[in-house]
Amino acid sequence: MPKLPSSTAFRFAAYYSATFTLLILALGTAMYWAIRQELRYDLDQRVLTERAAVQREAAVIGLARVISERARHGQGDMRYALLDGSGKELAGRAIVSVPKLGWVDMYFLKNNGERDATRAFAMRTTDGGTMIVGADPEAIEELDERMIPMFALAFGLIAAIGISGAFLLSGALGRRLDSITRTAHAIIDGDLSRRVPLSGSGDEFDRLSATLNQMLDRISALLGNLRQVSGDVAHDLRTPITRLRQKLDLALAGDRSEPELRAAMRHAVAQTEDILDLFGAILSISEVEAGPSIGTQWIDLSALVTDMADIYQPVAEEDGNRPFERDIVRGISIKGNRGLLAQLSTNLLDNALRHTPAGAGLSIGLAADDETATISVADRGPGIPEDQREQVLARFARLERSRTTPGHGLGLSLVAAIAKGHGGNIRLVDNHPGVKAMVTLPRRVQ
Amino acid sequence: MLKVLIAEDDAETRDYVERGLRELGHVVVCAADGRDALYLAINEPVDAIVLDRMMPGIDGLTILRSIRGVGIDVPVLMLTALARVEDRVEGLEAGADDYLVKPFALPELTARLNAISRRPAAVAAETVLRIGDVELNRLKREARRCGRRVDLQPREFALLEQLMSNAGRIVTRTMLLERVWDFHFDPKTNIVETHVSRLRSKLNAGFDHDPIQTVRGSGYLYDA
Repeated sequence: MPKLPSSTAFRFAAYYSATFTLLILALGTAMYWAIRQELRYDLDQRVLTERAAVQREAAVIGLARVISERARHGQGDMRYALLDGSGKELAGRAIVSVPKLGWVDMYFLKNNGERDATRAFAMRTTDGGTMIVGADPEAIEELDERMIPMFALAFGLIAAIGISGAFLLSGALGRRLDSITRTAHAIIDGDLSRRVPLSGSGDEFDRLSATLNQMLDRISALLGNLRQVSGDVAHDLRTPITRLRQKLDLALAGDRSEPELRAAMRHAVAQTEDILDLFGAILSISEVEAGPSIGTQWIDLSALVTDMADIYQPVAEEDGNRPFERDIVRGISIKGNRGLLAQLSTNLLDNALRHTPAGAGLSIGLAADDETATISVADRGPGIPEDQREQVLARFARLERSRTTPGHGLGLSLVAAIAKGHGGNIRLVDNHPGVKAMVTLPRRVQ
Repeated sequence: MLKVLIAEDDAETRDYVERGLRELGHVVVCAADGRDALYLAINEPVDAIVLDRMMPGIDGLTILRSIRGVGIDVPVLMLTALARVEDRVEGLEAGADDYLVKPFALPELTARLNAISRRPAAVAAETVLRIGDVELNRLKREARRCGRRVDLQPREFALLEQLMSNAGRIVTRTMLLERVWDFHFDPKTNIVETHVSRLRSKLNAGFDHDPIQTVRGSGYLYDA
């Protein structure tokens, strides 16, 4: 359970219900005042009407009589009093004190001595006394008695619902977030295989969790790749570096002539070149595999493959006059990285040239259907046994036979990485005889 | 002879480059960090700068932008461990004349340094490039030797153009791969050698003198 005061969900719900409660309060108050005003207006109208009636009657039978009669027999909720100039009561009911003139809220006295709150109008009589006509504000008192507790109840109820809602909401959100937090902590502690559990409801938390899981998948794939590369590097670099060291040791030992030393050093430099080359190849593969840097420019693949054919045809002809064929469909464009696709084609052609005897035929092709474009490079060499074709695509893979040819065995790995980076793949098939490498690339980027 | 500023924080690389350039008769000024490099680049008149991209203090790109900003247009060869295309583009956009990825061999560095520091501004713009009996028309993409047309493929023309516009200086295999084929990687087959040999046979048909010399371990040299 998260600490409530610092929970965003709690704060949101609390603010929300506070606002709501205040609105209800404002609305209730406005309503109360409106009703109260209306009741008071009605009351005042009754008092005014009564006063006019008293005055009309007074003109006939005299004010004092009217007042005393009305006080005795009039409507029960109306009150009357007549005072002389000194404030002495002449007729009507007793009052607590002499009011000022005009509208007043005052008290009459009951027979039992209790005070009786009254809404009244006081006016000067022709002989300098005061006439008071009032009404019992019972309706207003009743309104206060009923409405104020009702509003207080509603207000309290809404506030209670709001607060418990805030607790419930923050609890529910907290539990969903907790599962993400727990997973993150497990990963921080080293368990990279952990994933955020999904509730299956497909709500925003599930969508967020699914995205986080995809991110984690990507990260662990990259980490796995990194582990494999560093393992491979450690393994494959140790051998040439050890050999280099032995050569240098040998050159240092004993009495060597200068030409011998020079030869040893030239050899060492060449070997260092190879090691750097290997490093470069490993770096290129990691960059392609790690990078979002695969270009998204439209590339004329037909032109690129034609270009490659133009570049390599003379090379093939120089190398034992190899027959060189091309079969390139025109007008095929894909989205990708020109430099990397050039390198892909170059690696395939280099492989075909280096792993087949001089004079063996080569061909390059580009075919396409609606969905994909396929670059193929085929040779007429000895071929690769079917059970070893998968293995050739693995990193540092070199068939026993090719241990003597130069190269570090990363050429096809780079091709595979570039193909994958473009959303495609590489296959090696039998060319009867020879090998045909086919790189299939999607024509539309997903 | 050139006066060259080497800005490189790695002492071994700096010594290697310094010694190599001195042996070739160049005068060398060294800076081991970004601050020194920026100070020297602004205050010391040099013919060329070899600038490491990543240095303590101020990095190479910032130095380059600063000196270009104050109007110093001395040729700059940028050294870097970053080989990605974007990094190269960034370096060239900041005003580098050429870009060399570590690790490199000294002949590669000197060839590139020569190419950028002695490039006569006029040659780059001229339509017709004439050296000895060979004439190159850049507009018509046409080559002639002693007035007779030599029929070249577009890539062969580009190759000859690279060699001729750097006449008298070594052009390395890597430089040719980058500039003629736009390959920023090293193919395992000898495509440069093959295409140079094709160019030679076309250019020299009926002539005794071969203006394209092979410099062992370095590259090619066009010598009329």
